[in-house]
Amino acid sequence: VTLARKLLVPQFLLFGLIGLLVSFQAYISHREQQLLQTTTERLQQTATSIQRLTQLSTDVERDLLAEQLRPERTLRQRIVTSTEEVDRLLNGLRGADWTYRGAVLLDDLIELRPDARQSQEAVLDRLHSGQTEEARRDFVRWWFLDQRSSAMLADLSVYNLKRLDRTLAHVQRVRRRFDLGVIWLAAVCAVVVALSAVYVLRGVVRPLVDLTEASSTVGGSSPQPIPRLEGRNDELETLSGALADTTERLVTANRDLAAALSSRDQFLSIAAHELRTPLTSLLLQVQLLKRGLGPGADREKLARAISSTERQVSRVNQLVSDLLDVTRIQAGRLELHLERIPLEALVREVCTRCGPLLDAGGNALTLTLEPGLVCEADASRLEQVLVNLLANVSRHAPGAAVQVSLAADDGQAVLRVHDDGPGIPDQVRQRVFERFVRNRESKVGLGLGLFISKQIVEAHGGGIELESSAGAGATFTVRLPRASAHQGSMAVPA
Amino acid sequence: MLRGVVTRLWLLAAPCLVVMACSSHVPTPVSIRVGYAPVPSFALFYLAEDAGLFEAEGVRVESSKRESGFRALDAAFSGALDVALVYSTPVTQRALAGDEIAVVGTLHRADRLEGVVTRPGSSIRTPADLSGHRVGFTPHTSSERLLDLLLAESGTDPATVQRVPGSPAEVLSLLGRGQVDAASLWAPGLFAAQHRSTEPVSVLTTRSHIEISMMAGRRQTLRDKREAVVRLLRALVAAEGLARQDPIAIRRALHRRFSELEEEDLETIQRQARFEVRLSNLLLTTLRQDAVWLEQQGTTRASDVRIRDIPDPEPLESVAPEMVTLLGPLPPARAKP
Repeated sequence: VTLARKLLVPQFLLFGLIGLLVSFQAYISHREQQLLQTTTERLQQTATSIQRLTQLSTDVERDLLAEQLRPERTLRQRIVTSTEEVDRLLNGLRGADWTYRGAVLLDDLIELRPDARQSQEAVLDRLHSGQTEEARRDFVRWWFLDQRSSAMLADLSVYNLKRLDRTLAHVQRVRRRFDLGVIWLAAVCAVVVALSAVYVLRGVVRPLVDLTEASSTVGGSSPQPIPRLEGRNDELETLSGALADTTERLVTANRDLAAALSSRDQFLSIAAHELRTPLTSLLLQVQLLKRGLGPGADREKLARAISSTERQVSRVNQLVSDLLDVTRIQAGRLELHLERIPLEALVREVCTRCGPLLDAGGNALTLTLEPGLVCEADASRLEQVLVNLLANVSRHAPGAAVQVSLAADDGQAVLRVHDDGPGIPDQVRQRVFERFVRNRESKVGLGLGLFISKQIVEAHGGGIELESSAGAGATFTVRLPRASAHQGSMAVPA
Repeated sequence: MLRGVVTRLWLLAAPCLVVMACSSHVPTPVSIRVGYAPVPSFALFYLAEDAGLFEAEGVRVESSKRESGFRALDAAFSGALDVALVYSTPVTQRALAGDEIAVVGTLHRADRLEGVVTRPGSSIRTPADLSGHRVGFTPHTSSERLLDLLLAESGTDPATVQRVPGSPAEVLSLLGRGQVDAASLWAPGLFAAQHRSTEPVSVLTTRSHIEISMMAGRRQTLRDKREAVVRLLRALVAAEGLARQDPIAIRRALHRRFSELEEEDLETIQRQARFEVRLSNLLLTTLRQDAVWLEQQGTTRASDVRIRDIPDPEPLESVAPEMVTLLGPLPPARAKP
């Protein structure tokens, strides 16, 4: 929403400015039209009055001349009427919107009227009384004044027309100001567009380019970190965060995948080696048996060979079983046949069975078993776990004393296998429950025993942990939930 | 680097721009020679001179006084002057004689600021009373024109009046010495004649007579001096604006030059005169009336003389188009797009 606002606000601003411009334009045009219309109407009215005044002046002159030739009452009356109309029209012109110069001229013209009227009346009076010669002199005077009035009227007419020029000049002035305003608004629009463009380029496009460039290096030889656009409070910040998180997860997953592939390769190498060793031995044993068969065969020798063959087959079988278990665990198909197991008996039996193994390693075994502890578990799998632990002691801590204890702890059965051997190095201890992890000195096994043991214990709802430090022996602690009232066998997913 | 180049270019261009800007505001001074008779009618000219408006417009006015407008116009046509400040009569006379005369603008219009002043104690009361008396006047000027108009309006036979020609100063002197019974005078002589005596004098005048002063000269000279004429007109238009804003300004300018005029005279002048720069139909009418009178006096009209052609509106149009109100031929119609 924030990014949208940032991108849309300039556009709305531009829209507003353009709207303002259009409204202003419409307003100015309307005002201009009104002004021109009003001015034209007034101008026409004034022009009509001036035209009528000119006509009246001509009429009066003609009538005065005619009156001198042949005095008539009608003419005299018409002259009087025309004179009154002239005075009325001149006074009416005062109401027009004159400039200073026009107003002064009109005042002078009106101020001249009494003299003109006096001369005109003198002409008529002289004619009426038969003083023709005197009437002619007065007419000359009137004529000069009339000439002057006519000239002033003509000037007034031009002033009237020039009012239009003044209006046009005003319109032009307003238009020029408006044009200036348009230029300013256009400049503001340009600035808004420029700022918007700069923001889009630097605030949106550039971060996107940076994100794209960083993203394109993910998975390459020199990956760049995905920049987190923090502090923006917009969608780009969210996007960059999500991209960075996803990339980190992908990088981690990729690293895990690479490690898994490496482990797989390592496993294949180890598995091939581990399988080849007993198989080679088996082949030799079989060839030995083949040579030993026949008349006079040494039965004791054959029996040793068969025992050795059996051990090798057993070892191969163990290896294959481990691999099969791993495959089941990974596929989630580890099946447990749960039943109520008396743990003391199980532990004691396994320890007894592993006695030769421990003897072979020179390990003295001590058992501390709390009786009566029962777990709902798969007995064979639990045996597998304990055998693994004891086999590890035999293999990695030869000569060490082994203590196996079984005790109850807060609803759990706790099985501990402790040896006072050399302990497990730190680098191995941290990953000891992972697949294919072996002690560097160890040349035997696939490194799957503890992994399988952990999976089995966890499949039972328990846990396994290791306490060890260099030179202080090692303690594996297996915690299993004690059995509830239920009883029976069931398959439990891993 | 680009910024450095731009900065250097700007440093080079800035002084040039400053010089150009300054040069556009200070016009190259031009000069013009103006001659006039010292009369109050040219108040706008005096005001422009006092207010430094000529200098402001960049025109150096070399003014010189003449005995009358008629003499000033003579000087303009002889090449001693560029422009003469003059009344209408000498202008019309020149035009009728076929001289290429042009008027670029009026300076004032007034009535009843010229008149025939009688001698103190004279029995003359009306224009008709001039019959049989000696009347001083200045030939070929509005002084003579007014005298004739008064006689015509009163029905007096001009032949019954004994005319005594002379310059304005001479006529005034003759009247003062009682060697004439009346004198046709204009201001300031008109007012001086009235104030000389404690006895009442009569002033005969008529509204039929209109005085218009103007700037006139040889058409070609005025064209050659167009820039100076335009600036002169601009300064006079500014003086008109000044006079409108401050009505006392005209009175101050006149008082400085005509100290003999009393306050009452100055008020009369201001009331009856319009000091305005124009080219109007009133000017044409006055010139036409003068032409009729001059022809009646026996002046021969040269062929192809048109009164309408005397005003040259172009300079004033370029300065203040609203001041040109001449009715002339319509401008050519625009072609249809």
